[in-house]
Amino acid sequence: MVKVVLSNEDKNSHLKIRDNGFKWGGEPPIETLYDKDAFLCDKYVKKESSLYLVNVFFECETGNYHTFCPISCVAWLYQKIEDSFFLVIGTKTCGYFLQNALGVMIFAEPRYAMAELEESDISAQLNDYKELKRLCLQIKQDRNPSVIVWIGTCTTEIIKMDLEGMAPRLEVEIGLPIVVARANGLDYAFTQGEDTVLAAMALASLKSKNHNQQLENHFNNNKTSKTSVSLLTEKIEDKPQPTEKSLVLFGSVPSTVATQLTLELKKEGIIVSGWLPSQRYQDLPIFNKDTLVCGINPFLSRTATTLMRRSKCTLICAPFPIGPDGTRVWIEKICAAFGTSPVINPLTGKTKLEEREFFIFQGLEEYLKLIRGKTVFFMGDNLLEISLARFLTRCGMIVYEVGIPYLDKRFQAAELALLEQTCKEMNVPMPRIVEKPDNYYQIQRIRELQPDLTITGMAHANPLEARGITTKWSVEFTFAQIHGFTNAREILELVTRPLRRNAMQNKTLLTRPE
Amino acid sequence: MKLAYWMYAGPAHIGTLRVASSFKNVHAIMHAPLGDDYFNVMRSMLERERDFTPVTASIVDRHVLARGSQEKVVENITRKNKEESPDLILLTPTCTSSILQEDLHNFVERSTLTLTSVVNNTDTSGEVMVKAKATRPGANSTFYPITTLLSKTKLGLNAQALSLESFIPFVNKGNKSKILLSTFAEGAKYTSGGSKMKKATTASLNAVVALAHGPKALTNDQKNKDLLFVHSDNNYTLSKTFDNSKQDHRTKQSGKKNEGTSSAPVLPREVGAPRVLDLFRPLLNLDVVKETTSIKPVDKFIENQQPDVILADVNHYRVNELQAADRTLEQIVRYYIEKAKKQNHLNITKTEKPSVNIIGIFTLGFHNQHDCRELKRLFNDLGIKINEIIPEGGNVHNLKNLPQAWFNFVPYREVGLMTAVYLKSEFDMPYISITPMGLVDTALCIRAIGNIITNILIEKKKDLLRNTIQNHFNNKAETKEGGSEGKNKADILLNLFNNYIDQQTRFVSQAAWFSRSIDCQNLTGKKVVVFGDATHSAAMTKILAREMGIRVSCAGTYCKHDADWFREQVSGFCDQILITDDHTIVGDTIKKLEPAAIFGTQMERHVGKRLDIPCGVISAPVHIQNFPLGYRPFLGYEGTNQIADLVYNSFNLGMEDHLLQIFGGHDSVQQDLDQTNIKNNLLNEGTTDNIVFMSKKNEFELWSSEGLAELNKVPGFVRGKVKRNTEKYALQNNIPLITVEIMYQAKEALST
Repeated sequence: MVKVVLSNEDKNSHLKIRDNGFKWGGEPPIETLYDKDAFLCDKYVKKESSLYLVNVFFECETGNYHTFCPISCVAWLYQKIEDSFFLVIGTKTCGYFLQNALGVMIFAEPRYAMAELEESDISAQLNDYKELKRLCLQIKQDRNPSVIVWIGTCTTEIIKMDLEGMAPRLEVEIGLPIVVARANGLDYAFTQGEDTVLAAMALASLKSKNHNQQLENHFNNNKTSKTSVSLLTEKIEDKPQPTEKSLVLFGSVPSTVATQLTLELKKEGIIVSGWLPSQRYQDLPIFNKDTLVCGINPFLSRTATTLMRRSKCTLICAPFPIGPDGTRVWIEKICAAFGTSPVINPLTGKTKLEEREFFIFQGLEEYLKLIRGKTVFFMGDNLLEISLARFLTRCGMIVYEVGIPYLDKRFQAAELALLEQTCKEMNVPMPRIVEKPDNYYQIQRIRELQPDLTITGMAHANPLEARGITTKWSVEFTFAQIHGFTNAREILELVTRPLRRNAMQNKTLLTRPE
Repeated sequence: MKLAYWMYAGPAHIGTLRVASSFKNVHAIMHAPLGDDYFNVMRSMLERERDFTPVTASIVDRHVLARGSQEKVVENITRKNKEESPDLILLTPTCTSSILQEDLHNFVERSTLTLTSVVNNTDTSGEVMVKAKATRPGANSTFYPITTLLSKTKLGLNAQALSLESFIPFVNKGNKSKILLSTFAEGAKYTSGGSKMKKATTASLNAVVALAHGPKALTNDQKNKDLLFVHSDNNYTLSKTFDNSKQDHRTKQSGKKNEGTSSAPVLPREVGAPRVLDLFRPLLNLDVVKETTSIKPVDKFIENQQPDVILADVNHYRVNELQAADRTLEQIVRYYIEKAKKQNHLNITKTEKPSVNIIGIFTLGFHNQHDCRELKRLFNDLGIKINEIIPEGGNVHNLKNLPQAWFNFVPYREVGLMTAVYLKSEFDMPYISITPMGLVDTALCIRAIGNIITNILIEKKKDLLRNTIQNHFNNKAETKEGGSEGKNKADILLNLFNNYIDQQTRFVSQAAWFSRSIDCQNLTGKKVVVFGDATHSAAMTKILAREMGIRVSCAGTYCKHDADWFREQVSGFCDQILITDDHTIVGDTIKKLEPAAIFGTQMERHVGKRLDIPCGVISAPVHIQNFPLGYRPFLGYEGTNQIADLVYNSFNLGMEDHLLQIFGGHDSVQQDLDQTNIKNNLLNEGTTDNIVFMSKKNEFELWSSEGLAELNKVPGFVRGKVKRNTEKYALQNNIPLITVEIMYQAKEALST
């Protein structure tokens, strides 16, 4: 078994390999490291996180693990961005994955499609540009979206299709903005697909600002196409240029959840000036050096990097609003970034947030009863693992292992700190965090540990159940509404379902006469 | 580049992996980027597989790309060998990784070398190592399902049953123990699971014949005695069947369910069905049941201490899932046959008794497991021994035994045909690829089997032929023995097969009776559309047209590579043939034809839902609904029953529909519902359909009030159709206002 011990000291030279042949098995190549100054962490977190990173060992197994392909992000993003069309440029394999993973969505005339690469495309007998133009014109005619998002796949990476080079030419020619995201499985896992799309949109926002003038010149030269591209320019003019610090949240959640989070912040007097992504592509927020940004999903590290380095925004380093505990700290961090402190209830002397957290936990008691003292094992799938582990620890569970396809220790620093703090407060050991786990070894560990619940990908659920291990699909947490105070119940509803089922069945069997 | 929303057949590597994971103890290494390995999810979820899918993705990521994949692939192969000690490791790329144009052949050779050196090392350390390896039942650290673990710890049966209860909480008391046993038998192959299984299932008597034809079957008894003898070693007698015929129907059902859940290669003998043609039974020393349950010892550790490594040789951009599966199966079979040839292990002596290989039953296939059981029963009834079933549950080291069978049987032409053709060319083995689906084709298939067996008997197995004939007729056939010409004997034999067909058709299958029943009359002339893979679509078209008198407006398949065969099969049975892999064309065709029912894939089911047309699913691709727990074969005589049920239940209300027509319909559905129906139709049609668009605009201008009132009397589920047809008619004939008269004019015009 490969064990790689990581600590803060050897962060960059971290992957010291023991006994498999790989000299390198770390992160996907995020192009840059974080700009330290761009982090806005209060002292507490800085101290805690550095302490944390020294003290805690991470492992990187660099094993054979299974997650979904990152192109699956179109499943939720096309629904979120209502005027978009997602074009996945890949092979039959990609298409078959989408149709199997997204199941029946095809029947609802989804706003996504495959640009299926055929042999002639691979062998470069056809001109990519012409082919893509043909398809995009067809999409424009049939569906009339306000933006086409090209999702690059492993295949476009391997044949080195220059999507970024083609898009600017084509968007002028067809009069529709084109966003290029490389959601390929070579670099990313599952939910990171959303990260690539949001990062691309952040860049697009920046680009549209910079190229506004250029585009206008272009339109003046080609008056015929002016009307068709007018939306590109209108969008910019409509926006009030923010002068003071404004807050933009990034991460895709259903609009009801977005509203909930916006309202929670409003209670603390903080106005959310925009969301990335928003309901409509045309409402893409503007980013500049006065923009404070905060993520709501733990897998958005690339978006965070892009916003900091390219758009010069300031990132608020906070845990993620998953579970009432996470939500409270998340709001507190945002308050701190704006220089305000949370509203205090004069009657009790506690902050209203603390009271709300307490109240929510109280309401969850019927679920908590079921899971307190139980053990849980995350095999790792959707990168929500750390946040979920932290919340479940707070609920009284003991987390054995947190497998995670990729862990950006900077972006998740606050979350990791909160996890450690939670473990201390609940008096349970820190879970082992395994990056790029090896599913085979994990199964051996599950066999040894016999956890009460294993959160796993779909491929392992049935076999584990057959071996007496209670499982829950990790993918359900990707699609369920889990953010904010209100939705904590949803998480526990999912977590306890297998436990409740087993309890019911045992009861039925035990009370049966015989 | 092609704008694609959905596809019928998957990519090539899915086919390859389906074949590889169907074999026992074969591990596939997939050379692919993260996310391409969703095959594991599909198999685990759809087949509700209890074991981990034996497919490992050797992940291609950015770093591997930069370094080249050889090291990683070879490492994964050697590692899997250590962990699982499979018989065969199959390496396959995917669409994506195949364009890397890496020399995967070389990787395979490298890993073979590595594995050889490992084995040599162990050889020096002596026999003990090998022996130790051999005694371990499976991989060194495999995590067994509970059932197996329990059996290994030798808990008492009760204890096992108790802990197993958690698995099957919803069964009623009566069936519980049986299911427990079958679950147990399946999980723990080390115990004598087979016999317990048998015990559990003997209770499940197939009383179909007796139930439906009690009095007739009695005369039949007489008939049987004339033709053949009833063997004492058969654990049934006819009288017993009749005793049990009173058993309530549900027992039978639940019994069947029982058997359905177990995918173990056990053939529970269906006791009730008269085995009319126990042709070779007295000559077979081994009972077929024992034959199939006994696990053949794998001589892997004697002859093969290292796994074979093969690269699946498929062009990922030119073939689809089905073609790749066919190709991979042939490749594996060819590999092992050649290997056996080289090592002089190949035994091509035919088995003493008639025997068959079933080729093409595999994982994620449409009702394949159920069909396989039905086929086993069919061959068992015919007294034909099953030599090998591949790939499902097959052992690659037994592939060298394939030539020993008398003939090959390919139930579905999509997968297995290449293998059969190869074996035909290599060993001159005859094969049959008539799918025994529907009464007519099943009969055709059995006759073809009869011909092959008769020919072989006459040409090569004269002794056996004589014995057989003697055995069957020793009580009364003195005269026939005298004139023992080949032709005469052949007739006798073929007659036995024909009698079996006759028995099964008339008394076991209810489908023939259903075709004659008054119920089926109500289906006569109804229009349907059939679409699916070539095998199922062609068979279904023929069943509907020939056996049920239903009008097939359109029969189609997505197997474009098999278009000629399909055309030949269905021509004359349908109005129109559609060969396409574009689901939108199929959807449009259905919309245009407005059939009363559809028989198609999951996609057509959804098209049907949208258009409010019922659909029976008859072919892959399917969703999890079509991996039923119960016993639902499509082949053989039980298959005919299942298909008849499916057809009957697919039509809107069946009998009720007819009664509604007779009595003018109760139409208790509220008007607003009708409105929503019509509205839905409008939405579905979109603005492209001018007529409908117009009707939406001018509903009250186009229709007179009486006309509308009349329209509302039409039963809800056809109202939209009538409305549209009438409007179309009015528009074509420049009629400004639709009155009641015009409505009926339109109806007449359309019906002529």
